Amino acid sequence: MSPARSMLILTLFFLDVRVRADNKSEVDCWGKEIPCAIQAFGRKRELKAGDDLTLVLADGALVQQRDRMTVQLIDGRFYVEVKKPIVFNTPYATLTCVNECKALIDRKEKEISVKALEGEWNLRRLGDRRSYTLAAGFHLTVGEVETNGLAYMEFPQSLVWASTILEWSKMYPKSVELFKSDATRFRSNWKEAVESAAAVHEKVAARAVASHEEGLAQERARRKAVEKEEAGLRELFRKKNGIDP
Amino acid sequence: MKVTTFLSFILVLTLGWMQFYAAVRERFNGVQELRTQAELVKKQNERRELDVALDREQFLEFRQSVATLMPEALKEKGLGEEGYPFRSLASTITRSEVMEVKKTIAKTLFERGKSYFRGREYAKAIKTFKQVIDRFGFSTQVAEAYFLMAESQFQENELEECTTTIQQMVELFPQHELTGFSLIRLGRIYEIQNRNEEAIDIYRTVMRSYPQRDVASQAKASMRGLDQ
Repeated sequence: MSPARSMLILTLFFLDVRVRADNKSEVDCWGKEIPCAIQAFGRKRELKAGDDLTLVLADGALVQQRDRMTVQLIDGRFYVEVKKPIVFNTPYATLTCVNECKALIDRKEKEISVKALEGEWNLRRLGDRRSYTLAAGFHLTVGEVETNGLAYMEFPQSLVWASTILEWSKMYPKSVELFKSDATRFRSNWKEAVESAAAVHEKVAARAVASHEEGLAQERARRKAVEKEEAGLRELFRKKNGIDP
Repeated sequence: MKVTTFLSFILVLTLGWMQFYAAVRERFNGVQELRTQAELVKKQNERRELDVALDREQFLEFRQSVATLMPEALKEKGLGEEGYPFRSLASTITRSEVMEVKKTIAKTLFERGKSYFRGREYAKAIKTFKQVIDRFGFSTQVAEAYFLMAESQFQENELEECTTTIQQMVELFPQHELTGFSLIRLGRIYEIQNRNEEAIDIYRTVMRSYPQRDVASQAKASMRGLDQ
């Protein structure tokens, strides 16, 4: 071995030792302890539980695994891929996957917003016994409990294509090729969601118009009745006072 | 060959010595110790922040769970003087209807201003309408508040202020019927200031720009008055 080569190997050895010492990873409880809280610092972070759950935390996001089947989403933005009925819990609603699901979830202090990308999600808001189905391509926001004892829930809306794809691409943990195939699948889901949302909105608008027209008809009938009563009273007044009409 | 071997040996020796020197220096100058301590404090701080976030989450969950029970509790125990603690608790834990409350306050304040105006207490009316405009600029009464403030200022003989208010109305609500009436008032101010030509210009503009019958006929009447 030439002296120059030995010197290079020696230098690389020292360099390697120093880099390893600086990047010493922190102790991680995910998959080892329960409960386990994890926060992403400085960059996004991917957590896995076998093939059944992939959870990507954006920078600053905080999550806690409370038991084997319950994950508490505490703060920040998440990307979830799940194949079994794991419960995603928040103070405002719980979210479970019916079949294989993907979603982007944004947890803020006073609300949680869910963007369903694939599969069918089951959502139950706090205070409500019913649960609601959120299909892929839809977006739903649930907020604090209101005076009626139920958590505030918006009407589901179809997702906005461009911003959703951009957000998803930033959080996506796998290769570009896989993202392309997932996005293609999402495109058809999204189209269906837009069409069905449009149909639902049309129905709601038609119902609102019908109810408004019904209200107007009732008002007209009420006025007519009042006028009739007043005319009767005037007639009576004239008769009693002997006034000619 | 011997020289090369010797040089290699010297190089290895120098590197080894440098590494040893660096290690000894770091070990004994205290920097490493401080760095370790700083790292430890940083980790403790992160841990503490995490604990606080987890506690806050538990508190939020508790608060929301209590909020779901409040409607029933209020029905049973929320009435009268004894029900005050329940009502008070409900107000702190359920979603606040801030916008609705603000709208109501704006309406109340505006009605108070109107009552001062009717009672010819113009100074008080100006103050109240100004509050409506400054604090509740989003409310539906704001155009009317501007109009009544301009009228109050005119009655108080604050002609400069009145002109400024009318200009603001023109900028904010150019198509509003009340802006048309305010412009007629502006024409009147010009008349008082013997600026008759400007007053005529204003009346003509109002007749051209405001199709509402009342506004146009009022402008026409004002112009006729000026011609005589």
